[in-house]
Amino acid sequence: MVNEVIVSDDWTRNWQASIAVKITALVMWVIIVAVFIVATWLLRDMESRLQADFEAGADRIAYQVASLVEAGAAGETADLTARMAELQQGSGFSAIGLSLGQQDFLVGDADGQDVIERHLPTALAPGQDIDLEVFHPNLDELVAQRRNQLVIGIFATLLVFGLFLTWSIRTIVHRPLQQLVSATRAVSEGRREVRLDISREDEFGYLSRFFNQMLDRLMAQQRELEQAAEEARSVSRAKSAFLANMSHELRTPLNAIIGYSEMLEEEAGDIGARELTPDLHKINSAGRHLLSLINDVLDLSKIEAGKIEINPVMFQLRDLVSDVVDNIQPMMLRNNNHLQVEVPDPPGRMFSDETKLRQVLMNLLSNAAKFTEDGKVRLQLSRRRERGEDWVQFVVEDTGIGIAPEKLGRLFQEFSQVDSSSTRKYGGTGLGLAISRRFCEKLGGRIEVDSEPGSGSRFTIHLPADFGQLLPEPASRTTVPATRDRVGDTAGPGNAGKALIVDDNASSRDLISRTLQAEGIEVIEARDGREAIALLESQRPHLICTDLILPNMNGFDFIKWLRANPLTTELPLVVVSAMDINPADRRELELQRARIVPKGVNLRQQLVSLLQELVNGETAAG
Amino acid sequence: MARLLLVEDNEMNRDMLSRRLTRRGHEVLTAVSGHTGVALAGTEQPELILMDLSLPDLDGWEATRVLKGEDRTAHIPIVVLTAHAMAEDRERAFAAGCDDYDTKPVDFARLMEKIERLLQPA
Ligand SMILES: Nc1ncnc2c1ncn2[C@@H]1O[C@H](COP(=O)(O)OP(=O)(O)OP(=O)(O)O)[C@@H](O)[C@H]1O
Ligand SMILES: [Mg+2]
Repeated sequence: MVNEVIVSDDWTRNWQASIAVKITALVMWVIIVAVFIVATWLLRDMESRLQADFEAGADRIAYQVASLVEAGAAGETADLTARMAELQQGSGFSAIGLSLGQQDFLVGDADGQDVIERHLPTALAPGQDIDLEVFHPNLDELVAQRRNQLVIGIFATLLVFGLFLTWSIRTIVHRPLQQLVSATRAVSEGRREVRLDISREDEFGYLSRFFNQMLDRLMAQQRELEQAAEEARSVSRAKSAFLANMSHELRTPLNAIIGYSEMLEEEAGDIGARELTPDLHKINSAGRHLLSLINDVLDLSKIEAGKIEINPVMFQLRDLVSDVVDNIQPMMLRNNNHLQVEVPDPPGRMFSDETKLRQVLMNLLSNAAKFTEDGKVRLQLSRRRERGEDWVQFVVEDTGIGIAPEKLGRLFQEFSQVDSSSTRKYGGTGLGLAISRRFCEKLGGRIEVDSEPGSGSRFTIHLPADFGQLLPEPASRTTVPATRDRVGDTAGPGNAGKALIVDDNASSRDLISRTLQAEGIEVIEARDGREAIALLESQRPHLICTDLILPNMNGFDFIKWLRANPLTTELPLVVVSAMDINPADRRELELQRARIVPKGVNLRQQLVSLLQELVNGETAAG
Repeated sequence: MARLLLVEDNEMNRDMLSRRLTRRGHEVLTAVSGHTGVALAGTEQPELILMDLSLPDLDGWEATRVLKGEDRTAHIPIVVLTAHAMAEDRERAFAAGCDDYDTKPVDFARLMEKIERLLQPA
């Protein structure tokens, strides 16, 4: 997939603001600069221009006043004043003063005003000269006033203009952009059905059109992909079903081949036809080989279909190892290999998928047996604590042909035999290690290899001893106090303690609870596994008595839950059951360290003696 | 030796197992379906039953449950045989009440061991 990022490299990229704000700010900035330049130019020589204007005005007034005086109006003072007032009105001057010989005239308000003087010789009479004073506002003040007006005007205009600009950008750019943004967000959140309005005839219109087209394309592609995936799924389902079916169908005739050849081998011995035995044996072992291949293919197809299920059970490692060793011994002898087993004493228990682990070990051991001749194979079991968890480690080491370093990498891949000559010489499909790896991973662990060509190989598997810890956490774990100390630890000898009774039958619950109370034990009761688990969220009993047949969650599942939960895994457990427990269940219960007390006439007595046993420290936990 | 009942629908498997068991000196009764198996067990009182799981009409799990639920047959140990090596089949078989379990093709020596263990008086 090529992901091309188109970068626009302009300086506004790192400016965090909406586009409307950005554009408005830029335009306003340009306008302010322009206005500032214009304003400076306008204000440049305002003072001198005003001065010149006033001077010119004064000259004009002087001329007019002189004509008035000469027209002989001087005699009638009132008339002259009125004419002067007329002149002053609208002249831009605040006052006009005139001294004519002995007479002074003043129109307007001369207070605090600057003055321009004019002396006019007249033709009327000597000594009749006119002295004229024209008053106007102070120039500096006037300039300041003008400037203020200008500034206020400019800002008012800018404000209006800016608002208009923002508004138009909002409608033209921002809103469609916003719609685009929210549509894109909706799409990115998975809502593919959104579409944009395409009626605009500008870039946004085109963009919206392409956006819609893109989505149409995307949806079409998605539909195609989904169809393809669905087809692939159904093909794969069909394949898995076919394989499962097929392997079942193959196994039935194979059963007959294996069984009859074995039988014939025996019978041939009986009737003295010993020369037939080796051939019959070949048929038998070829049949068994074929069966193991079929099983491998089935396993792999199950893994691929994601159908592999982990069925964890509690089991004794000792039993597993001896079983595996018994089964592999014949193969070891065939190549004249010596098998050495190292197991700690006692090896302890493990809660995991025993069948899968057995298969992994058989794979590793049969490889070791197959690729080693006249050598040694070592199976070593050890336990260790890692990050507070219990781990089980198996090492299978041989002194065989070894594996070339460059081949180690794909050893755990399907159908990867180190070289094709291996197939001819040793047989096999190259599935064993692939399956082993997948199983180990499924069991929460890993498999490792270390090998030197010519001197041998070592395969190591690490698995958590308690697969239960990988299971979804039992509900109570979150609320039980975080201290990881085990409930069993607190049930010290001599501590009368607390017991949880799980039984759906009220009268037997009553009977057990009275028996325990008589021994000074506090009793809490639950009617089934679920209720009990809910109770365990807040209560920490020292002993649990449970029936096996319970509504909602039966006793077996409840016990499995208890043992999978670190807080109750060591808790003394008593199964009080009315029914006969079959040997398999009995074995299972023993593995889960449950004591069995049958419901019956002497239940009370049995319970008491069991309690005494527990109190004396001979706890059921083994 | 002992009187055994083999409930198995596949003819070859039935023939083979019964012949091999007979060779070991056992008396072998056979049934080809769950119902006949249950009926035979009631009338013939075998000492042990070998039960295939996939049977026509009454399947092996059901037959086991019926046999274990009846007073006349509840005491007879049942070994379940199946071609499915699935753990859940095994669990279900034990839940139905069988006493032991083995996968087909049977490892005859192992099966004999199981039979002998179950036949020993408890
Ligand atoms: N202990 C070993 N020593 C040397 N080579 C080994 C050893 N274990 C595995 N190999 C090599 O790795 C290959 C893959 O092993 P794997 O168990 O997956 O398949 P296989 O044994 O050939 O067939 P299968 O186990 O499916 O019958 C083998 O073919 C062999 O070449
Ligand atoms: Mg192998």
